[in-house]
Amino acid sequence: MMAGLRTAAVMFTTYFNAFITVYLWIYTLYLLICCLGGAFNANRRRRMEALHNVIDHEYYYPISILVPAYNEEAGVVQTVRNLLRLEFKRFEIVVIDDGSKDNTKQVMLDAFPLALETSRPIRYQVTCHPIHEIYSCRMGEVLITLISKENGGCKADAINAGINVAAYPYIINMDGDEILQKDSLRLACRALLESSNVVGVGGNIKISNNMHFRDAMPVSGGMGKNAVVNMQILEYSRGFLGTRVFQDLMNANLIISGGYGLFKKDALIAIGGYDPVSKGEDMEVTVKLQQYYRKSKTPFSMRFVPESICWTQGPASMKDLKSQRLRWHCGLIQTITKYKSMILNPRYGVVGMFMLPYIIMYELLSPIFMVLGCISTALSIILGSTSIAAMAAAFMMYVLLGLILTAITYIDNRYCPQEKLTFSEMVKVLFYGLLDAFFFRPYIALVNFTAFFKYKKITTSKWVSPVRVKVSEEP
Amino acid sequence: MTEILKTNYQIIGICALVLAVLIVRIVVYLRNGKRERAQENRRMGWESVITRCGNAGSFVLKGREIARFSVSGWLRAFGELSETTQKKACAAILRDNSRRLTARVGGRADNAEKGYFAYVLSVADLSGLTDEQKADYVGFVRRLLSGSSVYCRENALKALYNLGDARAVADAVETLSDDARLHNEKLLSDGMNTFSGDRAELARALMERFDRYDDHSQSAVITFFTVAGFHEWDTLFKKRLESGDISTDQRCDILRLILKVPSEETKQILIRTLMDKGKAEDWQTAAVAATGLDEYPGDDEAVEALKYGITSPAWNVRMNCASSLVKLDPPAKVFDEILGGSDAFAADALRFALNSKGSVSV
Repeated sequence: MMAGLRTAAVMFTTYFNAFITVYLWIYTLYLLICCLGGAFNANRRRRMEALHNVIDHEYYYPISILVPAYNEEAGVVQTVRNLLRLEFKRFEIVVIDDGSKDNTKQVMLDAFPLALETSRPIRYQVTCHPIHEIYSCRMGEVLITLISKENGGCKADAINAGINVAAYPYIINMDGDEILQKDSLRLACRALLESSNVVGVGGNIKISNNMHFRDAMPVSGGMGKNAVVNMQILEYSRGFLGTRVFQDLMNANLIISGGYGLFKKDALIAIGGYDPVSKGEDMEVTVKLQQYYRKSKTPFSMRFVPESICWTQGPASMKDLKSQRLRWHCGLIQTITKYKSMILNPRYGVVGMFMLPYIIMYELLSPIFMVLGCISTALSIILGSTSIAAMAAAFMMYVLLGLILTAITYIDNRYCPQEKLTFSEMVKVLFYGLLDAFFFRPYIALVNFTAFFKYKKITTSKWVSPVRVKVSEEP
Repeated sequence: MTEILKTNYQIIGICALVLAVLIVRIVVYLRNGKRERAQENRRMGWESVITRCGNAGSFVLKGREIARFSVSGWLRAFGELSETTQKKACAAILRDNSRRLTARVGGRADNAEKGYFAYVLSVADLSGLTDEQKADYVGFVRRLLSGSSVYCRENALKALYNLGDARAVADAVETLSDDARLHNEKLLSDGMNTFSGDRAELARALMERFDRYDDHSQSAVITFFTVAGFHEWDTLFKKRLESGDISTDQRCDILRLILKVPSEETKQILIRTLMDKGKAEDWQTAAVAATGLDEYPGDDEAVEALKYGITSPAWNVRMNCASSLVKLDPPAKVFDEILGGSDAFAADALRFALNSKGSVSV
């Protein structure tokens, strides 16, 4: 009996260790290609900018900025005030109060001269919960609209309501606590001027917790004292400047972040808007667009413009972070399940044949592999099939590689490029990079692992808003 | 330890490679400051060339100075001066060295640098060029239109607008059509509006080649005419509307052009379009036609057409008809009829237009 168990354990560890070695190799190579590609692309873009090889035109596409707000009384007014500072010719702001339990609606009414509109017809082109009231006012050239609606239980429903009320052909969705950098819309619109096939543009999301802003532009900040926030800064840099730039090169973007995405309104309407059941509405809508255009063989592109920046508040506590990541991973499971017909389907090109399998292997299932990997490693050591020193050396090399990639993407994506890169900043990057490898990533993997067990509960829960703090704004 | 290193030599190799990349990136980053100083030195280098030329009374450059134009940093330094402190002197250099500069940049520089040189040409004061010098630059920028990036093309077009050669611009639009290079319509039409030469001559040159342009470029030309107010060819465009083989987008552009000049003939076209297409699947032209009918106050025909259009199933047609109807200010019974009628959507659209005083066109 014991001999049989031992043989089974040895077989498991042998095959699984071989699998995990190949698995990690592919992942490392992919990250390496992404980061080097991203760094190369960033350099090329900087050179093109310096040589005026950019489309800078005074004509901008009219854009409706949708700000879904659920219990956002702490930040929504500041968000709207920052939006009013945007360097952009024609846009409107639509704040959607999704039946907040706090004073979101009241703080908006107090801050702006909003008047109740009694006769505005609403064109219900995508489904959403009933809209109760619409308020509007003009601040200079900008129309501000406040929608008060029945709580739809999710951000997707609120965005759909915004789409129905939006007047302009392009929409931006963002969160109620974010700051769109002053030049962000102008830079995002370059992608639209470059090609008429662009249906979506994703911007670069950065963490605003430690930042100071003046006139919707960052003036100082970066790595601060909060370790949770610092590790998210490194994580976002890796994610946005590494993988997304690479995916952009293949027109295989599968996530235009819910924090900041520009879309052609007609395209969203054609696919029926956002899925109100989805917990990862940003990925769901991007995959749905990929499916729609690839299936109908209509030329399209979805771009990622790293220069167009939106600042968001990352969760500052482990509790909020855990809740956010559980939601994200459940959203991922939901989306992959919904669009399973695209996986390894040549009809969907690089998305079906490469990106979706990659996401399944390296995002969806990675927490399972990580847990199994830990079990296998422990078993291997107990069974004496491998030495602790060899394992430790392999792990250290993996950590070192991750650290180096993190440092590359951080340097390319510095929060205040106008400030000089200091020695202490680099030390901080390396320190938090290490902490990230030893603590943050295993923790997130564990949280994501639990998502498989909490899937049903989370996908049926209503949307929650993490605790927000007011962002520092210099006079 | 040796064994460990042996078994993981691939990982060590990759780590070493990435470490090398990181070191290079840090060095590049730290060198940025040095690069700025080098750029300042190049600007000073051009300043001294300009001073020497100014003293000598000739802006003909020496061979090694011409060679600087194929070096990114030197080219940028020249461009920066031509936009800021040395506008006149840089224009004189461009004027007196046109052939040698185009040969040098055209032959040695990469596409991004060529695009930048076109940008320099687009912002420089080129009013004093002779026909021969102008031809040198026109030849250079026209070569950039084929096979280059969208940025390069845009800079080339901007340079052509600045050179003020109407035929060259009209030919460039034809090149874009021939190569099936879709250049943003708004960029094209707005660019034409910045043409530094005689815009009427440009309009004539564009019309001479109009049939050779693709649908997209034709739309850009029509939009240019609308913004610039060229209505010389309205009759021709009205006839074009009758033809069945033009796109809906171009029909909308033609309607936007002709509705600027109210006349009985135009009114009839707008009414016919609204009546024919108001309830059709391709309603877009009807929506545009509705916006033009607000120019005919007191006209019963226009009011009747708008009353028909306001019951369209298409939101945009309905909203535009409501807006125009309010601007026409017809007798109150017209509004009462719609507000009390059986079409609740029409009543909603009109109610909103009345509250917004007609400013709701979509």
